[in-house]
Amino acid sequence: MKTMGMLIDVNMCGGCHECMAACMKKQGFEGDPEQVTKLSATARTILEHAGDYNVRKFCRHCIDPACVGACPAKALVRTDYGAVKYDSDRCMGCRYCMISCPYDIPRYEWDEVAPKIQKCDMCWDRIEAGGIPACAEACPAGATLFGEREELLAEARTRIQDAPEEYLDYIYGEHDNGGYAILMIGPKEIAAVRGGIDFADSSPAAIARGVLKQLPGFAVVGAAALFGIYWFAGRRNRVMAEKARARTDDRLPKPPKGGKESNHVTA
Amino acid sequence: MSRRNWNPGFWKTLFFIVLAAGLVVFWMRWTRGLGSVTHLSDAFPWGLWVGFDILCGIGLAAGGFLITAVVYIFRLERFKPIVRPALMTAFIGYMLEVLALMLDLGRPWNLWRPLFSWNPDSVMFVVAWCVTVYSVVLAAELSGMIFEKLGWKRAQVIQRRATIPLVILGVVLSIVHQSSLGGLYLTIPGKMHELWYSNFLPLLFLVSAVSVGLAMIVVESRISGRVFGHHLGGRTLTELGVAQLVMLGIYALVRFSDLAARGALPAAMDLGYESGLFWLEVGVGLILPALLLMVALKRSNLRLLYGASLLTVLGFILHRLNVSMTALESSRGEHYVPAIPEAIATLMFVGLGFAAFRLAARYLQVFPHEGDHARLGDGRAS
Repeated sequence: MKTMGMLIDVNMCGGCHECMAACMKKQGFEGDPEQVTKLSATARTILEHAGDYNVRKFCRHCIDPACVGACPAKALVRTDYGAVKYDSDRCMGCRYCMISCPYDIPRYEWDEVAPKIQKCDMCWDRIEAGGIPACAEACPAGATLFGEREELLAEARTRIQDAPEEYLDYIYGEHDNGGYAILMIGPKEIAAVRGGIDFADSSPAAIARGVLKQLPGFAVVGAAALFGIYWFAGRRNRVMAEKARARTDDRLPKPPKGGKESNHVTA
Repeated sequence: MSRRNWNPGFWKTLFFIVLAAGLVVFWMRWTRGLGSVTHLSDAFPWGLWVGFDILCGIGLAAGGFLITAVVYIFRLERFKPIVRPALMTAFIGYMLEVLALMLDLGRPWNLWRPLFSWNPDSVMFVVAWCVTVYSVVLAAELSGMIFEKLGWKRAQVIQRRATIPLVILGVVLSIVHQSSLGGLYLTIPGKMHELWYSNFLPLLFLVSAVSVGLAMIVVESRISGRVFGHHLGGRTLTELGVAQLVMLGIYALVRFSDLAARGALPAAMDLGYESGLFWLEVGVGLILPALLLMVALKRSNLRLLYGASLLTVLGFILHRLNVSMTALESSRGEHYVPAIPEAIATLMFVGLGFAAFRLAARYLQVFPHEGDHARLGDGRAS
């Protein structure tokens, strides 16, 4: 499957909370979407506010996700079509994904005995069954579109070109930190919640990858060096022992044999 | 029950109170979840149990790999008497890590998965893999002591022959996972305060593990001298002090040149929460012990050497707590203070460590017998 994604157009959003309601319904989370203002173990998507605008906050489904790089158990994986999904049966609960996510998206079930990570999984089960994510289906304003990432990028460019006065000339997620599947465009005001546009072009996951790539070589060279030191230290100890013996032998009544040995060793 | 030297009544009573309270914490966590016993949150998913029990605990156990390297790789035989106590301390430390993980991990029955997951991008995978394998190596290195107790001569011979490969494997694994603990934080430059984020975190964690490993051997010698009547000779202690001073110097050089290169020194000069904790860490835990070490070595004052080593341990703990907690607070916009049950559980692990060491020293030959130096360290059968 091609890389899929979503395009969030903040200018189209009327703040009806239908995306949140659909997500909560699908996940079986209780509560009134309009009262939910923070991501939590029972809220995978929320609306943040920048002036009068509503800005959706949920997993950005990075192309090179820091959480997937972080996970020691491969409980977080990125599918070939771009959804970053979580498998609680593999998770050991170390929460390094929460530490690693540059956007602080993953949430934890702090009140559960066997807690799970909660975050948007792009409704991968619906996508694999040929459907589209619940939030995109629920949006009555066309502010959350689901489709192929390339097509969504083209659509985003067209919208910005057609109404340059209404849009910040930047597509969030095209390149930032390696790019996301979830793209966002909107008015200049959204920079207040989405940050400036000076993102790195590679993911934090690349930092760890670069360092860890050198590990096997380091281990081999390190082990060889240790063995070398071991060998040299053994030789040093033998030489020192011989010298000590030679010194003692010099003081003994019959020096010739000891003297020969010591010459042989030090030569 | 030995009742010499100090009052076992008081310490034993305290130990059992903390143990009982710690078991209650375990019970709460496994009936009501992590939220019921910790101040952990989505903003602070890692707290005292990771910052102290894991990051500090693994560092404090570094004496084990250090001393095997000194005795078996560099072949400085005069350090042999401390091989067994240092290895025993390390092994107990790693076993306590596993116990701490049973509390902190959300789904610890999946703890084995990193062994087979092979995620080459995950620093946590490297840490988990190396720590697990190294624990097995430590057990193998210590097995000679058990075989000796059981009188299995043939097993002792085999174990002795495997010593060098085991030691080399253990040292490589240790260097990798000690530095990887710092590497865990490499991927979050945007979340950490500039006084602590550094590209050199892996190196800083490795060097500080070495200096604290040396300091811990001095501290352990002092404690075991009091409790068991075994302590190291003045010459050995002095050499450990010199090595510790050298490592503190290397650490200070890396730490401050990195701060200067990143232009973070002005942040240390601001009066504030972060800079205050920074100077506590650097002043009390780095500069002061280095000065005291110089005086102690010049005057051959072993008491002062012991005091300086304690401060080195303190400074090491402060650095790791600052990296794992303080450095993250400003980007989180909130403070993390451990809950009382978190502190109780941590105390319980410390107490269990002491208790386990006492038991091991009582039933195994951890310390040398007088005039028995030929038998030390490697379980030599002859």
